Amino acid sequence: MAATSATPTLARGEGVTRQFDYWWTVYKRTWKGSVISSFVSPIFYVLAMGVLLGGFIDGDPEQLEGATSYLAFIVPGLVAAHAMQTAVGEMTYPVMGMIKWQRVYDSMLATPLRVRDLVGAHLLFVLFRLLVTCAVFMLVVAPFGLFETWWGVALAYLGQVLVGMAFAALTFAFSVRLKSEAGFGVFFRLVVFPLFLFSGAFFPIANLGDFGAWVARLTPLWHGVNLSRMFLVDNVDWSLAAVNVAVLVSLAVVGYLFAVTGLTKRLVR
Amino acid sequence: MAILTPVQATSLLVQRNYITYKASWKLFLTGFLEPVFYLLSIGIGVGALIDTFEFNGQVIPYAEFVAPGMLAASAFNGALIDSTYNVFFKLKYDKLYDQMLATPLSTSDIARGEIAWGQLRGGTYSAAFLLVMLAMDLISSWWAVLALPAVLLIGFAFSAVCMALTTWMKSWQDFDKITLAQLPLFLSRLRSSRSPRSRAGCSGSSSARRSTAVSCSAGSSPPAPSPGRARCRSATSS
Repeated sequence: MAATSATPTLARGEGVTRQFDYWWTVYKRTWKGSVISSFVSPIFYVLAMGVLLGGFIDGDPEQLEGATSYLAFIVPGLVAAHAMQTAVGEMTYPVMGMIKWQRVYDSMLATPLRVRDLVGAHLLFVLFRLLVTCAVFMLVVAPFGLFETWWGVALAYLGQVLVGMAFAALTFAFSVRLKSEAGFGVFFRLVVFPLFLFSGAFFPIANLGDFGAWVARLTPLWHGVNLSRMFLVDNVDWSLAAVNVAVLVSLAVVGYLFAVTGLTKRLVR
Repeated sequence: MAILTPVQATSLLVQRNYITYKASWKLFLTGFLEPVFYLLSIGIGVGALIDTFEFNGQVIPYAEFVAPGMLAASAFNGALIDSTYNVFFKLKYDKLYDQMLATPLSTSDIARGEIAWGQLRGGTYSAAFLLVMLAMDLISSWWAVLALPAVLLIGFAFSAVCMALTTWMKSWQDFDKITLAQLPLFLSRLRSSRSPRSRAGCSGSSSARRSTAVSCSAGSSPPAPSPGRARCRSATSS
């Protein structure tokens, strides 16, 4: 709308950095609400699935993609899946709110900020959320003694944040095209939830059969789960890791571009 | 003042819900898929990792062990979301109940109607899930039909309690307390997973984010599948 008529121009990157204080204020006001869903419940999940159900499962590295226990197998997958959920959660209703309910994007666009600045700043905020959430998750599971090498932990962490960012960008692109929030319910049930269950977080994708395993390999979450797990259980196939990273980075870039074009069409016309 | 009998009032409420849900039938339909996905993932996928699973002295496949619990979960999905998020939304934002109370309907009519609707929805999911179990050969006796009333009873109990709790809720943030209360339930159930009596509730993870989500109007609230959503893989084998 007003974006085109703005006279003062912003230097490269300035449009993004100018929104730091906005997102910081949002975070200061909302972080408490995310404590239970982001930090407490994942840990209960680790205990219930990993420790209790894991007690019934033999720690056979052959069957568990190199992990020596089911707990060691499931934790890397859960953190990656948690990154996906955090990203998707930040990019569905909040984005719809910014566009449709509170119209914050509209007011931002009435300033010299451009669409790509809004998208960039919002994604940076999600990056920050992912960095914090995954770090806390990893710190909390650290006492279980699952981590093999320090560099593996660091690389797995980066993989988790990366898969989160790929989902953030893709979900952003989806949300800006959605006219009504009713689509989110179906999106959660038919996309996010099946991804969560069948992308190798809970069981090796080999258990899905040949065809199922290939379908699973095509899902973005599997690439993140695989990165996270390979590095945490110290069973690294570097060429596969390179493929995983390449896929996730390209998805993040594609998602970003589609988010920018979608939001431009919707708000600037 | 008594123009309507309780039965008439209840059926009016049910009818009202039926009409609104017709508009969001996709949400209604996909709600049934959740426990099926869970069964395929945890029951079959994780179950493949478990060689022998002992239940009451009998060795059974893990899928057969968790499926009845997921049957209960499918009823929860319908009943619990209806009686918490949806009731809260209608109470606070839609002011739907205020409008109803301006008619000859009474508060107990509303409670009866909403819970009856939740039961119908939960019962539909459970019946469909039983058919899936039958198709997957996870049912070994005709007595399984009795699981349906058992699941309805659990659903009724949770609907009633959760609807009562919801009337005290002030904001979406309060829903985190429900999550918190249900997590230990979930855990204690898994720990005693060999006992056929244990059970737990499914919690909807409520993040503060959802406070921006004016989402639950007609359909169910979105089932954000965070790890925190304590799903019910309970051993409510009835």
